[in-house]
Amino acid sequence: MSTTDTDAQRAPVPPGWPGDDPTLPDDLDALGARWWWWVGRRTRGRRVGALEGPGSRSSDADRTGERAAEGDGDDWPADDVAVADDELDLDDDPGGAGPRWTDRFRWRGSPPEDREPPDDDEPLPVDDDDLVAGVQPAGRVLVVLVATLVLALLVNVDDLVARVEAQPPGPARDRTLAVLHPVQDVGNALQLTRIRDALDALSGDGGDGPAATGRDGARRQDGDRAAPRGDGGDEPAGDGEGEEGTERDDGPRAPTPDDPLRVWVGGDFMAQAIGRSLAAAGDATGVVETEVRYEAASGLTRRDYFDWPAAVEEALDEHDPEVVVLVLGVNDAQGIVRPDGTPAQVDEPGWADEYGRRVGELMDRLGGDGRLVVWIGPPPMREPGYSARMAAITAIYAEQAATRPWVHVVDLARVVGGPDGAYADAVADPASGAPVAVRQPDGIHLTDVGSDLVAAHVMDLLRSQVDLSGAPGGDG
Amino acid sequence: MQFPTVAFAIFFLAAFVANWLLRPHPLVWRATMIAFSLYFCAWVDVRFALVVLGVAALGWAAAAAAHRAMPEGDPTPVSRRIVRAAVAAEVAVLAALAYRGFLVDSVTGALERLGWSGSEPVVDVVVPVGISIYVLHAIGYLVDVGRGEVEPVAFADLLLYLCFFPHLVAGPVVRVDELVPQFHERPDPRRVPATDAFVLVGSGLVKAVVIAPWLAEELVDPAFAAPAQASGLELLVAAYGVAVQVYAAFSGATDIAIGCGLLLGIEYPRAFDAPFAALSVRDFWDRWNLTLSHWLRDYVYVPLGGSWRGRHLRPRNVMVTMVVGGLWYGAGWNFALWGVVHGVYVIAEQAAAARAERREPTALLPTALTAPVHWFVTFHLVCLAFVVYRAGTVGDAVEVLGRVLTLAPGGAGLVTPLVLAVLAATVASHFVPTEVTYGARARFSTLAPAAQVAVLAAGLTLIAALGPDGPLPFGRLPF
Repeated sequence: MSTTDTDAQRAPVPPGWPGDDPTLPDDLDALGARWWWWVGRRTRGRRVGALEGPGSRSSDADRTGERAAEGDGDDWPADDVAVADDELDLDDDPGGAGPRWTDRFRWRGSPPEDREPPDDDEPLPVDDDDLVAGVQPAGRVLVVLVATLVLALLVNVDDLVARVEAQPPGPARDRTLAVLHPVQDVGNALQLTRIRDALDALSGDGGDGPAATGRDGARRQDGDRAAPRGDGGDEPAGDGEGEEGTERDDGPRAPTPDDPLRVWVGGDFMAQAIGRSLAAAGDATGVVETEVRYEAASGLTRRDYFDWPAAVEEALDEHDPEVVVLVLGVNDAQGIVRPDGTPAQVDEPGWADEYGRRVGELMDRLGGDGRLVVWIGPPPMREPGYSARMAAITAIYAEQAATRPWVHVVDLARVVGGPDGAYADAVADPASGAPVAVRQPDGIHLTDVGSDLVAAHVMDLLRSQVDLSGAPGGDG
Repeated sequence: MQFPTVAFAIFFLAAFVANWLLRPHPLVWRATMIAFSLYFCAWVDVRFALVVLGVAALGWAAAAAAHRAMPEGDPTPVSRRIVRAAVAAEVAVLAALAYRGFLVDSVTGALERLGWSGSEPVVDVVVPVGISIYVLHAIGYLVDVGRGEVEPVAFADLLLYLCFFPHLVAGPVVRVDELVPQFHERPDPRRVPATDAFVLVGSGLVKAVVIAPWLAEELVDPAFAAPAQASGLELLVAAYGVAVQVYAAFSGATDIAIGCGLLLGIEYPRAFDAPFAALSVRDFWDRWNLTLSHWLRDYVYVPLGGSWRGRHLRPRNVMVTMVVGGLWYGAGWNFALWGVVHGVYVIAEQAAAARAERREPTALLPTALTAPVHWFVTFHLVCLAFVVYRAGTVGDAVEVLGRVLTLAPGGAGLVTPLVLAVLAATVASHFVPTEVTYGARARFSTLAPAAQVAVLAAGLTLIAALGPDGPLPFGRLPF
């Protein structure tokens, strides 16, 4: 039933409303009834005309229509929820006294004046349609919306940064990240991001994950890990053109539970997922301790954005890792600036030379002291052009590693690609042979299963180089 | 622009403020909402906004011309010709932009089978956001005006009706007389049904962001990527999974749209009404994407003749309508075939119902079992059709169904207790009356704003944590 009295349709003034204004308010301050006033106040029961949203079945039933009765489509399956034509007369004067079209949505039951006046002392009636619909002034809704989004943004900012950096490189992504990074700093400073971390841990999405996440490693858990071993961190291994770091006979020692193998994982957003899987796999051995450092949208082309050589230097000083796993390349298909200040675009001949030079320098810096370097290239991507650029980058890694035996390049096309190394949504699980989805719907990200496959591949590689049985006997 | 993104959240907040501040000024309000909607369209490519403008201009001009050709208010031969030409033009726009690849592939495939080796270079056309929605709206408007059911509306009203951003992604598909009158109303800004809107947006996010992509990744995609690896039982569960996944993706998107509309003072009709509780396939279509079903009935089935041009034509009309509906869900022969399967279902049900009317009623089943058996059969028929929907080719569908029916051995470890629990919970939710949530809604409504913020932020965080790591799979929705 609908009412025809437009005055009756107007809601009574809610508690706190500044006066019984007969006209509808026009500004947000009025709409919100001074929003700050509402903070901390409970909404009192306002039992006025019952609003029915479109989500209830009865409202659909009300629309049972006469269209079907026209005989045109009387046997069409959806006939009995047709819209009543007589309620949809466009000629209705919206301001007139006749029934308004939206009445059928908005007003059901008795007109407001037929109801008893609200009594603030009376318990809230839970069967009140208005209360169920949660009718509120627009200004208050705006305050709730803004506060909700700000709070949710601060809690989830790490995840958002990872999502944005999954997008192909470009100015839009850079702009978004420029906005999100300060928010990320605030979220970390307020410790709000820990809420999301805890949820991820509960859902098994990183519960056994790496000790450190985030762009600044602020939440790294060093715990009581042993102090850096040896003094290799002070040695400028980069001088030796690779030869210096080739004491392969030494290799990483055989770790024990008391003195685990120190693995450091660094890289872009892929490092987050792969590092998490790698940390879990390492934990399972009982003799591997993993640190992860990832940086959104980073790579080796844009040192002005993030300086990986400096970050690696810092990691060598701080952790003295015996195994370094680098996951880079996804963000690197963009212009690069050569040492002489001239830029080179991706497709220009000088680009590969400059990129290769940077890769080689970093590989050299990581060599020495028997350190093992696992360099994971980007996987094939669904978008063919993007995928071709990733393949070219992986080829540069392989070329640079060819003369540096301490570096092992992992070509992800062989791990999460199809039989021909091309992009594949799903691959056969090496263990069971069952198909497993390794890529997310965006055609860029790895799924958790995909990350686990990569981690298993890296662990196999480690086992071929290091005795991970945990048996004592390593020379420490 | 996709719904569950920070960009959309900021966009929506701006639209929300502008909406309520400008609502007292109808012209400014309409211009502003059009600007917001065109910006939403142009988010990916500015040319998409031009497509909307073109579709609207064509629809508006043709409707005005048709109306002028109807001096008595009834259709005339001239008005019919104008409407038909305009509808054909709108369909051509849709085919050119959304179905071009499908059409070219189909034609070249057929030519190659006939011995023609010339391959047509396929231009990679990016499909404009929401094109199927606003072209459907434009066609509906043209036909309604041509039938004399509605008066032509102002260009601004038509443009806003076509491209109003909440319904652009996946509907609901609404009639012009359901939406345009609301543009002339002024909803009370003190009475925004916030809890209803939050519940709709929240449930939509859970379905579209958590359930649909999770089921796809854990069950459906691996099962259908290599059906030979999965056991028959796993493929059966995967068939249930497809049904629940598609339902979650589409109903989630429409729930978000309806919730956003409520926050702006615009009310949309409900699109999904517990489809898995259906007791017959016709009942299913009475609950599945209702607004699209209504559009198909009014603008495809009825113009074809419905049932009144002769019972012998009714099966053809049902089948054509179902195939058109199937193609709305995607440009591929599997979607068309999905429509064919449902067409067969509906035709068979109509025939069975007609035969039952002529006979003495006989109880084949005990009364207590009638509804459960009908539900069981309907649910499995629907899931069977969804195998066709999901399988890339007829061969794949046959392989999957063959392995299901023969209970083929094997096992890819796809069916876990959690997968079964999610499927069961989603289907079971269809049997829970809406009233059950009223208590919780009322309690939320009475919370202080700060507490509401905490609850909503916690919900968003939970959804984000349980959702996929990458961008959200709204690309699987139709155009």
